[in-house]
Amino acid sequence: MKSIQTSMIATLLALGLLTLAPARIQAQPKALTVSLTATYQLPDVTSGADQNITKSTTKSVKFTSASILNLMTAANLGMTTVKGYTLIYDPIANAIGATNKATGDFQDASSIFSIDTSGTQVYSGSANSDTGQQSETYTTYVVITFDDGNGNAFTVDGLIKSTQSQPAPTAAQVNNGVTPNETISFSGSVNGFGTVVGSDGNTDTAVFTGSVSGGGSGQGS
Amino acid sequence: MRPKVLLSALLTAGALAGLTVWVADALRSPATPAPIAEAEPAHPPADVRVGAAATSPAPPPVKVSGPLRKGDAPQILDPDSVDGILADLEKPGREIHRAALQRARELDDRSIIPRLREIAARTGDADEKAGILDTIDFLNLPSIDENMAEAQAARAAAGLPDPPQSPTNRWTGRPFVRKQ
Repeated sequence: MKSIQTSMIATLLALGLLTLAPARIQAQPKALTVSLTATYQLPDVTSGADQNITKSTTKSVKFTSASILNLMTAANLGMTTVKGYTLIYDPIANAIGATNKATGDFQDASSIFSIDTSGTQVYSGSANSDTGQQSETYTTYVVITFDDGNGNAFTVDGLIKSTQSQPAPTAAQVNNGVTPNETISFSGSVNGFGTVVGSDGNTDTAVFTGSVSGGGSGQGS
Repeated sequence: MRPKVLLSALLTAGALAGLTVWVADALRSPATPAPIAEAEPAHPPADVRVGAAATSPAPPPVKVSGPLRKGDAPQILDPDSVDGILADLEKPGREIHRAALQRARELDDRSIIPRLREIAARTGDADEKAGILDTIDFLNLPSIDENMAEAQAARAAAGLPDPPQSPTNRWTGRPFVRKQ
């Protein structure tokens, strides 16, 4: 009888404490950093007495996160101005878009930009199923696509290295029923192909190379 | 009757004990951080810190790493600023340099180029020198939006209309969601 009473009391107390726990914390996506170089072919130039010498050249342009925001705006695919906006990717919620920290506005970019992380993955590290503490390093084959609908588009792929960690909850977190945030960061080199609009207005095929990085912290799924 | 009395007494005692612990905890930390800060890992792995610093959209100024010793004044730099990037390039550590160069690419501020050239000239590490020179080359490239602006200006000057926009994403086949 006494043990039943004790269990009841413990349950009631636990329920009481749980009502004091703060709401679950949302993920905090960080900026998505894109640094790509696109190289495309310029028209050949021939010279010589009988046009027997052909000179071939290429031109390179860069795609950065800021460029992508500008392309989104130019194509009416999001906000009307890039001022105050940051390109973000939340690896936990797998959401991509542009956010304005000052206004809180979020513009979904999933119709033009995608990051497919469902490819082959290997990982190492450790996880404690009792405490939730984990620290793991992943290597994932990732495919990233972009298309602004105006002629600038790419698909790049590569191996992205990411780290995922979650500390064991502190005593206060246990008492408050709070799960520690999961933190993910990733970076890697990517290569691929696509098209770019040249300064002459023509759309040219191009090869792409560069890197992407980002991360986030929040509640895991 | 006795079990009811015992249950009531234990419930009251338990509630009081819980309240005492809660009040004591609240008093111990009057400036309890916001829940979001509380839930942040206290000591994220080094890679995570580097990644976060490299990618944060508008990070608050952070203390330069390293434990403070007596007499040290905390040095505060925005890691995404030109000064923050250059400071990291002066520190030892290839990973720190790599992350700083990555941030330089993202910042895309050509005013950093002369300082990068100085650092490249000083470094004896061939790989690092190549990385710095690659970054300089990247910064000197025109951006795709500059290309687009030039193309648009040329069309406008020639009185030509803008080409039609594609209704669907070529990779996914999904329709674009346009704002007008």
